[in-house]
Amino acid sequence: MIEGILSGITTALTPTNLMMVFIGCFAGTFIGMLPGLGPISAIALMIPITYGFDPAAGLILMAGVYYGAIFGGSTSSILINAPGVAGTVATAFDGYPLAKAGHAGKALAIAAYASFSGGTIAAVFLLLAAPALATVALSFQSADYFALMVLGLTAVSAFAGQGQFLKAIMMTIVGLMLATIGTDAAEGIQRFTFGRLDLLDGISFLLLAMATFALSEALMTILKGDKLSEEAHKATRGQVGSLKLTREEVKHIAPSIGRSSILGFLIGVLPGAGATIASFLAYGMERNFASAAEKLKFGKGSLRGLAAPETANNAACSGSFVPLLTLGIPGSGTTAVMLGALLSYNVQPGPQLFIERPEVFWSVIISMYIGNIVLLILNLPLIPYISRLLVLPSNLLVPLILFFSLVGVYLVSFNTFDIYLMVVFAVIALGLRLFNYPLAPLILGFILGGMMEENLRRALNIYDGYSFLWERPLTLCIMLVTAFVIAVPVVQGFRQKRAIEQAGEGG
Amino acid sequence: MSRDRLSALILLGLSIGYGVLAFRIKLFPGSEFELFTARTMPVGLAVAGSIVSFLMLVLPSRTAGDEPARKVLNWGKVAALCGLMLFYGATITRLGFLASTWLFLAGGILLLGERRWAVVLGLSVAVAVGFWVLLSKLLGIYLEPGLLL
Repeated sequence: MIEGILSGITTALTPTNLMMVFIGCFAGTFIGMLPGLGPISAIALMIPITYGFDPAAGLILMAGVYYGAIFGGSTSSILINAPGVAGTVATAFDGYPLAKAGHAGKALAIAAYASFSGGTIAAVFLLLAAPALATVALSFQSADYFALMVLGLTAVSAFAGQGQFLKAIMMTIVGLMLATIGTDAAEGIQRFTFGRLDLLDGISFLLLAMATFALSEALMTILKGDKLSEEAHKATRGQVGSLKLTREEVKHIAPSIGRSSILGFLIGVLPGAGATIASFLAYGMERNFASAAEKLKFGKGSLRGLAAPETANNAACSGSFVPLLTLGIPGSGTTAVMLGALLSYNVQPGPQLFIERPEVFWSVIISMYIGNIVLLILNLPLIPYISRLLVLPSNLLVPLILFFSLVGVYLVSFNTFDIYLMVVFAVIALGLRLFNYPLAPLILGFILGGMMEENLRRALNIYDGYSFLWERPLTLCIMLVTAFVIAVPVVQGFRQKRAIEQAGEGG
Repeated sequence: MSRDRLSALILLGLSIGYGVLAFRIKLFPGSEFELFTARTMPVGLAVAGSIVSFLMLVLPSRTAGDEPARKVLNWGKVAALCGLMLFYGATITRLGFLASTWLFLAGGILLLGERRWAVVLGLSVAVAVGFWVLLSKLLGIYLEPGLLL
């Protein structure tokens, strides 16, 4: 292992790869900041660009873009309440009120320090835990994988927001339905292809992600008018304020950062659960831990409420590399795109990656440390200047976003049918957004659909029926956790309803 | 009917339609005796989708009554942009990457209200040519030549 780490350090510290980290972090911050372009789109756009690179350099660049995009997303969340990335939605809850109160600089600094701490602590966990986790995870069977995926998808829905549970579950199901389009992996039978050759391979993940996120976000900006630019003008015209934190403030947020790093990392490791869930969970956890007085501040500019999701989403980014690198299972939508990129380099992620390509595995982990340092020392001081990019008028920005998205997908398949399909999905996604349906569960359902079906098939065949759900202790435990995750929003909903009724009777 | 109910009804229709198609998936002879076939997952999803959308339809909607006031939405511009994207798809191989990209960008910028010709032409030409050079010359990606390059 030591040799692997040393070869990783040597690879990561070559001038080319160091430059990749710099470029990746910078490009990622820029792209993540633009509302409508998140890390999925950013990495997807990098795939055609990195075709000629060696795997380590390509992966390092993409990891840099990933971190940068999450950090950039935090900036637009804080400054204009427009998260470019789903993982930074929770950041806006307290970051935006802070910025509105004139503490934008402080909020950005907390976001940067929290991201740095979360990313670094999680990278240490990754370094220590990845080999061990790979061994543990290798003992997982299909039944456990199936249960884990059900848990992941349920958790996404359960934390989608108040009153959104059913909508999120429905979106997960729609995502799973879309995943069944194409040729069935086990038997080679065509399903829902309507006789079209273009649909034989199913819908590409990149296409769906770009259409439902980048395209529909950009179209939404146009549909709702140019309000975003006005707000961005307002936010960036004024000074962002001091970037310094007091000793008390650091002491105040330090425990949150510690807790959220661990939580974020663990959530990131889970298949299906990524930065978004981690950030929401960390936010919820901090609110539960907070004193009654502190609780009232949540949503109105609580420092802990900002630090927790920021730490957790970066920690989850590191965590999501664990299943990707050790098992070949993406932990989030973004790592799913990376999986595609790795396969295009002829690198098959999994336990074999440790043995066959240790320099790839370890250099990515080492470059995460470097990436975090780059973000802190390069991006933070530049934020007031980079944030001026937010004032780019949408009549110039939107055609560019549409172009980058369409070309990003077209350059992978070179099939114009994909462009038409993207427009159709973008319009549907736009409708779903207008009806307040969350789209992240749809994407996750889509990613996990194929794997879920495969694992269910295997489990059913091994156990000759559904008995694996209660016969295998690990599967049973995971299913019980799933039941708990479903029960929480239901019980909360009933409690709130009762509270409202009682308040109504009392008043 | 509230917007939530309407969307639930559409999704219920979708789930039922998906279910009907799921039962039409052709199977190999004899596979009806197997535990898991190509139909198993789609049928399960159709049932789950129908149940969830039915629940959405019948359960009291929490957001009913406090829907935000409807804003004037720019449907015209969105429709035009979608048309433009379809046009891009139709011309990218016929006219060629460079020409169709330039037309798409210039059209999009004009459509969204930019009237300074220097900006419209400058940006669209710069991005189209820059990308074309990057892809075909620097990265060596093969772009199908069209009528106009």
